[in-house]
Amino acid sequence: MADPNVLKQLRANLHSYSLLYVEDNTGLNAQASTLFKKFFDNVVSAYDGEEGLSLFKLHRPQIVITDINMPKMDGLKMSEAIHAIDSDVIIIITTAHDEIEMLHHSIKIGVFEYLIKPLKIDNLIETFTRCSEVFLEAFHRKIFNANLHAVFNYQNNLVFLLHERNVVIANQPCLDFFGVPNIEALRKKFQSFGEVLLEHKSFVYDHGTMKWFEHISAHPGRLFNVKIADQEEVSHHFILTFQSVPEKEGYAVLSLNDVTELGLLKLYDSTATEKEAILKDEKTVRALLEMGMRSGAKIKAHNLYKGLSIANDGLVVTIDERVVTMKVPYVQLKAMQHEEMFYLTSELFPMAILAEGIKRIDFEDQSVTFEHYHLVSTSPTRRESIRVTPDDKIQMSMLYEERKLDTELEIMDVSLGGMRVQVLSLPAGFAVKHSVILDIVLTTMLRPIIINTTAEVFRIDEVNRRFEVVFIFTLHAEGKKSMIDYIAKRQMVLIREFKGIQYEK
Amino acid sequence: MKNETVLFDDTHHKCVMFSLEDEEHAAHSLSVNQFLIIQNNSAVLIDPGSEVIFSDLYEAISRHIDPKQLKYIFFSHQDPDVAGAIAQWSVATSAKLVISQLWVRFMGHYGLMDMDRILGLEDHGAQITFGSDYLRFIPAHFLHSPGNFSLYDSRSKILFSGDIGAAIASPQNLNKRVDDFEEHRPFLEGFHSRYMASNRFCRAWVQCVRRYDVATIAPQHGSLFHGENATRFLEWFENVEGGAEHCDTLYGCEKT
Repeated sequence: MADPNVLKQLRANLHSYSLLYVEDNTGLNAQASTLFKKFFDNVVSAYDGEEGLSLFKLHRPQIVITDINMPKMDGLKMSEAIHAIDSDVIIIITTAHDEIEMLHHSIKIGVFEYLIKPLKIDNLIETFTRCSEVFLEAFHRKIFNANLHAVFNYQNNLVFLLHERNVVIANQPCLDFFGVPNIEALRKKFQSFGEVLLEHKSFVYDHGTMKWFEHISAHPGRLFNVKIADQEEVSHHFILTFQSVPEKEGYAVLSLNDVTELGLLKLYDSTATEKEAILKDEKTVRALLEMGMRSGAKIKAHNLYKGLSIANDGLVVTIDERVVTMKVPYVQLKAMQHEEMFYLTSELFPMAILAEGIKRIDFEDQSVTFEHYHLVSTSPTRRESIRVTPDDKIQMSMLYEERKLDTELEIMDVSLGGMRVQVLSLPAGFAVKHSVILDIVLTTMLRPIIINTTAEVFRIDEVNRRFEVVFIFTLHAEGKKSMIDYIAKRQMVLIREFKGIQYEK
Repeated sequence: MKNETVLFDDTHHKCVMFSLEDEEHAAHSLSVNQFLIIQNNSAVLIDPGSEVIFSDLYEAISRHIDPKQLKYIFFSHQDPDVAGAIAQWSVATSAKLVISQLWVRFMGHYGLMDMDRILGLEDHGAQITFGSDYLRFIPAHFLHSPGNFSLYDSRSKILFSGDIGAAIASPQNLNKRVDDFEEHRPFLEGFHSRYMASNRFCRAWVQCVRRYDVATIAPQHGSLFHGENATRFLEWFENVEGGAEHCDTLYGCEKT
């Protein structure tokens, strides 16, 4: 016996919908219709497919239950005709036999359920419950679609739907910001949108090498800084995004998120002294991170492990006073834990941020919390080529003014275009821009490879009572290939080593 | 067989095909192709192959452009004969490596932990515009890899189709061009019916490809289809039956 509460609930959910029942057996038709009326206020009966179809056209019920074998038109043909009129109608087939052939056909025409006669109340309840779920979902979708308009108009972002480069629709904040009375006036204004975007260093605006629309549409999904003056000629700082609409060629959504109050405009375009003051200001960095958080921008976290660059996308999730929390993948957290610091970069930031003062690394939640950060003008994130800490399979000796340096050289890191070494003493007169000859020996499985090259002294520093020298060089073709191979293999070894750390507790 | 062919050159834009074989492939007559697109001072390398051919390909490219000018290296999918030298290319160039988002998290296994070097393609693909020309990454998922793309170059009208169109041991592979589609067809059949996931994907890909004006289809293995033969190939490919259609035979567990 069915639970009366379930029946009650089902009736509450379904009674306002209507049902068409098509069955040529008059006795069965009457009996089942009585049962259906317990759930639906409006039940219509028909006795063959033809009558069923015409009653469907007349009453437009949301559910049709039909037998298959009937005079004039069978149930499957009728169902096909009904779905051709309205594919959302729920069709339930009843049959005396469990016929596989029939089942296949029913699936093809999109039948909702296939019930074996005689109808059992439990099966009916189960099927009607699923129907009510489908109706509820459709109802929610309808509310959502009807209110999308309101959501669109009442959010603070300026949102435009574009076709090619023309405005199709825009929300109310667009009209308000540009001080235009209607969409027609906005369309006109938008035709010269290039003039609306004001010049600002590293921002998007029309100039010699950049046309704004071509630039943003070539990079869908990316975030850009733009500056636009309001009606009072006050400059606003917006984050612009451009997203093409999938499957609808030429259509795109352009949105502008006003971040003026974060006070970052001066950071991108200011005199050197002003900039220096800003760089020292943690508040500015916090504002940058907040801008990233609000625009949902992916912020790249960078770490180094023995020169091996480890970088992944992260998201700023909370900023509480000075404490910032970011979500980053597990592997990055391991690298952060190892290095006890990390760099952050984003297309939105004018330069890299160095983050220190890690308070918490949560591997479960995949997040890091930190409280010290400042902008840095140079960082390893700007490295043009991969640099690795070498192993003992690479040795080097140096000739300066035709004399071999007799103290031992320790290679600190090596790349395709240079090398950083430490040495206890340097020959007299040795200086930046001087030329040297380097003999680099790579030990491989087969034989040692000697790369002989001239190099230039790029930098000399003193570190822990030792001299640190950076050489830069352009290797000849064979040497270059051997060096690529060495660095690529060394990189692989370092990855394995790092992965070992990854699994350490 | 010469291992370098200029496919297109209008002085601003050049497409070159290299046909460097690693021993493994040579033994199976797989006839591997690598492609380079150069426009002005930047270049895109397509499916650069395994570690074995890295040195030769690097040298071959250097004859056309300084490898530093490579802006993108595109890997149609994750197979080792396509992406096996990711570590070497990441060291040798500063190019962004373009591959399906699906394979990004495996990059550590290929020797790269710096995701800043990777441009992970979303399923619907992407477009890179340069001047009035563009490169379009067209979805080719499950043909055969689940994260797979073809690349269309609007200037040369060449579609770099990855493994789609691969022919094994066809006599026409010697010239790297299909002169007679009917004669070439039998050499396409075995590979495609075993490697492609299902006809549904074949049709979806053909539908996407037909949106573009394609003059040449350039697969990663075998011969290129030009003009009428490219049309014939698309007509044939949309009717290819793949794994799903041959599931019973493949599994050998049909009802007894």
